Amino acid sequence: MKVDKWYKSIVESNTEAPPEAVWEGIQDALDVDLVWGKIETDLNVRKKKPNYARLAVAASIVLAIAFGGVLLYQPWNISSQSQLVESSGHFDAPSSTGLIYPSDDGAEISPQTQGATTPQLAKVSQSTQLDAEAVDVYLQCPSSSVDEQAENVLERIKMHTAGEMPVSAPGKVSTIAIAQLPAEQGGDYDNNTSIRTVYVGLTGHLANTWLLSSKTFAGLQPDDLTNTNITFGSNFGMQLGTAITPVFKIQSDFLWISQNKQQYNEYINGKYVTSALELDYYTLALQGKYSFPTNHTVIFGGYFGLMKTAKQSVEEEIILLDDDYSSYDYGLIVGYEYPIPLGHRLTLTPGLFAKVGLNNVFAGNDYIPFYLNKTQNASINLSLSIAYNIF
Amino acid sequence: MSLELYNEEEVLRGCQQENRRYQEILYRRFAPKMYGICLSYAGDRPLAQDMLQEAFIKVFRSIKDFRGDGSLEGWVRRIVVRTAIDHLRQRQSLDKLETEEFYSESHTQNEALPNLQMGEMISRINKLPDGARVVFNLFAVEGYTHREIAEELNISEGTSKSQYNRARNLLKGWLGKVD
Repeated sequence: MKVDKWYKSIVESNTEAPPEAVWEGIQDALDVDLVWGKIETDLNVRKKKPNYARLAVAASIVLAIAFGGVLLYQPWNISSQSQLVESSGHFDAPSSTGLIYPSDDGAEISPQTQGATTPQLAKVSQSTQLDAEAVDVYLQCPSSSVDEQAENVLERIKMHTAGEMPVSAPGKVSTIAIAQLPAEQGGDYDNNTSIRTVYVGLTGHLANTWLLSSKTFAGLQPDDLTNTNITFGSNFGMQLGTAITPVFKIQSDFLWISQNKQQYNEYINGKYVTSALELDYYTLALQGKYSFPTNHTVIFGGYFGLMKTAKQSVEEEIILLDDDYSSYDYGLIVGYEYPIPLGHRLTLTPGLFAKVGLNNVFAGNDYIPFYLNKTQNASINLSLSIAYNIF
Repeated sequence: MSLELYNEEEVLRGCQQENRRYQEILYRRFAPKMYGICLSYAGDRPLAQDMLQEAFIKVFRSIKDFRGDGSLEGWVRRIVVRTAIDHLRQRQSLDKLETEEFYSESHTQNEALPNLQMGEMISRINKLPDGARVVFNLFAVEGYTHREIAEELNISEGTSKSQYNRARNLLKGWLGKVD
C-alpha cells in the first residue's frame, strides 16, 4: 500500500500551476455562454411580446364586437319586448279584470297612441308585471273613462319611475298613457332595432408619424450625428359606423392611404444627406366611440395594416425596402373627437387620436437581423371626417 | 489576488451569480490540485490542461446546482475526475481495457521515492497504458473500490483488479521496492 499512498501524496501535493492559457480558455467559454444567454433571453422576450400584443388587439376587437352586439340586441329586454308584443296584440281584448271598454271606433284612442315607442311600451310592459293588485283596485272604479284611467296610469308611471309606487294597467290604458309621456331625447333612435343611426363618411388625417427604432431615438439626442426630423404623413379613407346606443358608436375606417414616415439627416457614404423612410399601408380600423352628454367623444380601438410599399428616399434616389419590412402591422388607437351636426343628416367631426403599433415592422435583411432593429409605427393624428346618416 | 480573503461560501455565491472575479478566485484556489489530478490521468501536460479547462467550464456552468452537500472541493474534484475519464473515453483509450497488455519496459529499480515530484513522476505514469492508469488513479487516489471502478468504466471487477495490480507492479518496478 505504500506505493498507493506515496502516489496519492504526490498527486495531491502538486503545486505546479497550470498555464495561464487554461484560465483564458475558461473565460472565453464563459464569455460565449454569456453572449448566447443574452441572445436567448432576447429571443425569448421577442417571442413572447408579439403574442401579448396580438392578444391585446384581438381581445380589444372581440370586446368591442361583443359589447356592440350586446348593446344591439339587448337580451335583457327580450322578455319585456315579447310581453309588449303580446300586450299590443290584445289591444282590444277584454280586460282580465272583467272591465268592458267602449267599442274600438277610434274615439276612445288618442291619436298620440300612434307615436308610442317601443322602449316606452317596454317600460310599461315591465311595469305591468309589478302590481296586479293595485291595478285591480284602480280599475274597480266604474266611473273612470279610458282617458281618465290613462291619465291616472300616467301619474302612476311617473311615480313608479320616481320609485314611489308600482304601476299596472291593461294594454289599452297603458298605450294611451304612454303616448302622453314626453318623447325621449334623440328622436332619431330606431326603436325597433335599437340602432340609432347608420352612417357613412369620408375621413382624412394629418399625421405626425414616428418609426420608433433605436436609430430614431438616437437621432433625438443632440450629440448624435444622425438627426431625427419631425415628419408628417397623411391618411385618407372612408368610414362606416353605427350608433348602437345614444352614447356609444362602433365605427370601422378603411384607409387606402395610410402613411408612416420618418425623416433623418444623417451621414451616408461620407455625405450629410436627408433620408426618409416611408411605409405605406392599407389600414382597417375598428373603433368604439363613447359620447359624453356635451358631445365630447372618446375613441378606443385597434387597427390592422397591410403593407403596400416600403421605401427609403435618399436625396433624389428611392430604394424599395419591401423585403426588409413586415407585410402587416397592428396596434391600438385612442383619442378624442367632437362631432358637429350639420343639418339633419350630416356630421362634421374634428378629432385627435394616437396610434401605436404593437408589431416590430422591421423584418430584417442580410445585414441586420429583425431583433436588432426593432421598429414600431406610431403617430399622432389630427382628423377631420364628414359623415352622412343613412338612417 | 489574495485567495484567503474570501471564504468558501462567499466565493460560491459569487460564482453562482456568474461573477467573473469570484470565478477566478475559485479557479486559482483549486487549479493546482486539480491540475495534479488531471496530470495523473492524462500522463502529459497538454492533455491535462485540456481536461482541466473543460472541467472548470463544467464547474462554472453547473455551480448553480451545487447545494452544499459535501465540500465544494470534493464536488469540483468529482467533476474533474469524471471529465478526465470522459476525455480518455472519447479518445477510445479505455476501450482496450479488457484486452490490453502491458509492454514491458526496462525498470529503473533504484529511484528514490520520497524525492520524486509530480513533474518527474509524469514521465513515469505516462508509460502506463491509459486504462491501467485510470484504474490505478481511481483506486489509489480517489479511493474507489474495484466494484465502483468496474461500474464507472463498464468493465468487470476482475479486470479492474488486474489492471490495478499491473499498474502498481509496474510503478514499483520503475520506482524501486517500497513495500
